Amino acid sequence: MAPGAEAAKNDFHWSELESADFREYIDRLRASGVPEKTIRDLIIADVGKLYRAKLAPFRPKPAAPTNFWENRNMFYSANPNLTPEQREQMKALQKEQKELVETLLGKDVYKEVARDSGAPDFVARQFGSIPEEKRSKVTELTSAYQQARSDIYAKTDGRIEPEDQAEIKTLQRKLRADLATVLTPQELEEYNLRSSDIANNMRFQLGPFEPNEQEFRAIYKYKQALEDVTPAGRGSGAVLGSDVIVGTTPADRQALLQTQKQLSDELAQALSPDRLKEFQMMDRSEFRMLFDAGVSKNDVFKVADMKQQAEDAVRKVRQDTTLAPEQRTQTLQDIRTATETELANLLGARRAKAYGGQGGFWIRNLAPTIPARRP
Amino acid sequence: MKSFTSILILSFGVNILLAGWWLKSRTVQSTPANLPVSIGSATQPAEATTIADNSPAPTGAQAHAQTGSTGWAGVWSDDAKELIRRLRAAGCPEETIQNLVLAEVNRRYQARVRDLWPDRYKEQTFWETQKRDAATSKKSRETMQQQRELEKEKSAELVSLLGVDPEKAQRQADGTDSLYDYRGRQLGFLPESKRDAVGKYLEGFEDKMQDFYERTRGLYDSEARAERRQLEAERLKGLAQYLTPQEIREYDLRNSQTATQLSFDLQGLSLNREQYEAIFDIRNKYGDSIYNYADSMDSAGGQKRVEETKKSMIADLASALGPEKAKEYERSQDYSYQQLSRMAKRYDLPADTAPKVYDYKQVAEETAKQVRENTTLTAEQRQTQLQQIRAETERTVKSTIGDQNYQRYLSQGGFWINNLAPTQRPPGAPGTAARSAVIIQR
Repeated sequence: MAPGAEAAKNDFHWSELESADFREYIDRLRASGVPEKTIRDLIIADVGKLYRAKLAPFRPKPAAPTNFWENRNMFYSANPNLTPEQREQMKALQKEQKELVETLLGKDVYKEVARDSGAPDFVARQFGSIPEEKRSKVTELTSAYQQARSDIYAKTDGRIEPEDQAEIKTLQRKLRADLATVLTPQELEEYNLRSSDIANNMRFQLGPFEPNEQEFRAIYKYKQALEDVTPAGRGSGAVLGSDVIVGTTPADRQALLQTQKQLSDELAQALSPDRLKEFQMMDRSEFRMLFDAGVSKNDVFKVADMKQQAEDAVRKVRQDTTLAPEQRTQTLQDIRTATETELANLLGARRAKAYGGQGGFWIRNLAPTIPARRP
Repeated sequence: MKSFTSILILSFGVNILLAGWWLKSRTVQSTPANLPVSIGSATQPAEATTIADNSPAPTGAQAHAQTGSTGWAGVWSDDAKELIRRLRAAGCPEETIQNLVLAEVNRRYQARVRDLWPDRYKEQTFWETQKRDAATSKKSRETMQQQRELEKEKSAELVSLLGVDPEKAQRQADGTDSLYDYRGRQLGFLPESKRDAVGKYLEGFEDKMQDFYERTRGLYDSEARAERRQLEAERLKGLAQYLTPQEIREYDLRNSQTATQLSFDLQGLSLNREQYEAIFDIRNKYGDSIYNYADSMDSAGGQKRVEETKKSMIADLASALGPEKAKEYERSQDYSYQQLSRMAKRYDLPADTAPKVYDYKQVAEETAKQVRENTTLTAEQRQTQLQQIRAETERTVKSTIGDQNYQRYLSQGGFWINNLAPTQRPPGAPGTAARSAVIIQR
């Protein structure tokens, strides 16, 4: 058949489908036998066009080209593009656009689009079993939180003050409290396990640990509880004793240590001794950096044992009042030298040396570094 | 039996009609009052173009009801080009054809992207952690490269079908295309004819660099630094196949490790091209020797050597830039100055605050150094004088930036004030006893 012959036979003309009314247009497309997914494509594109013009004033302006000698990389940069009012206007328009598409094509339209494209179910990843009707409220609360947090970072220009950290902590607590008004305790936990900052960090940091579900839940619970009791501006610490905890008064510090110990004990109940030890390694930066550098789990365990033994030995030497100062210094130096040699044998001289300068600071603390002799 | 079948067909038809009526009335009722439902004049007259599809053809029952024409079924073709031709012949607006083709092409390429990243598209449990081992990173880089190739292929297919890549055209219209064009940003200074070949060469070389970063994760010793320098030299040598020496120089000024470092180091400094080039050349000349790397500190006199190299570099800068600009540069490299500049901006302190405090710092540190090196002083005299310098400096800085900002400054950037003299603790203060137990006698 010659090209165009089929079309010539068909007396169909697209103008039969056209209508200035979206609903009429959709009806005609359906009546004409256009498949649903194609209707979705056409309507979403048309609505997109309608709103692209409305959203144009809020789109980030491309940076004017700069001379290469004027290029500066900012660690943090404020977003001067939009005022809070403009952001609100933009969000309202985006919401309106989404609602229009849902009105025209049904509430599940975006699910169907995602299914069509074979994309993973990101919504399930984020919300788990949280009922549909609660999801938009949760999204609203979390995006307000994220915006407020971005605003704080933007005003810091890379210099984060203790009051900024306190403000962020307050925001985090407010988000949890707000979410608790929407979700049941069980839903909140399920949501946090999937979408909270703590859980996201865990998925990043606990790579080689590969927790199972029960372990992940237990560690999350432990970390969230630590976060709750730790004052703003302080790392939540990891395992008792791994970080210096500074409270406002000695009584505060004591209470904090007590709570931390209690939480650690609870975690110890939930994990097997081996897995607890492994988690403790992963959770402490001095060992995590070895994992990150590709050192095997077994070797990291050996480094941890080495540290324990060396620090025990150093403690004994320092408490030994029978030693003369010179003897003490010499003994400490011997412990440090022996530890350094053992580390070099285990990790290789190069990696061991790098470790001493980048996370293995405990090695230096075994004994003072002997200054190089001046020429 | 025959009548039963007829009833069944009739019943089925009625149900379809009812369902259609219900769906239609539901959509109308749920339309929010303030939402637009009119397309307006969204479509335009046809010009010239093409499409692809593998979606199922509609059934005969779906044929156009109102006009009696064959409708979509008569237009549809599995062959994209033929489909486009028919849509055009049916008077379909070009923009609608583009939307339709783009969606179909995207579906096809999304499926291929999914095949590239099976792990990302599978069901994921919340306890699944991210893998960051060397093999995973390498695989990700390779897959990312394949995905970039797919994107190029898709764009070319769209151009072949439609005469235009609608996504790219949209980005250009929005002014956001440059955000997606890393190579353009990197090589935009080169003649168009050379960009592709150079881009391919650099992509290939990037693999070597990434392998190096993987091998040296957590290591930044002299060996790693030397290897990196060697790789960079090798990259420039390779570029010589494509570029003139002047073009290589231009590439280096924009994209080398030194250029990247300078883009961080020159914050707050306003320079013209000549000044930038002077700094660039001087920094290249001194390389790593100006940094206090732990491994360079090990050898005898390491610290002194670094200090002397820095002095020599400052002298070179002064002669190239003039004393004022050189001082400005030197100041901009000082962490405490950078911190105070940020604070001044945030808390609306006068513009000259950071330079002023930087000058105090210079004077106080120099005076303290002289006191420490003065062998005619007893230990007590030395301590007393150092304490006086510290106290005087604290007073001056506080009066310049205010008490509250002073506390902020001390926590980030103001550490140098504490270093002027040891903090004095009242006897019996908490911590003193514990510390004295572990003091190592010299």
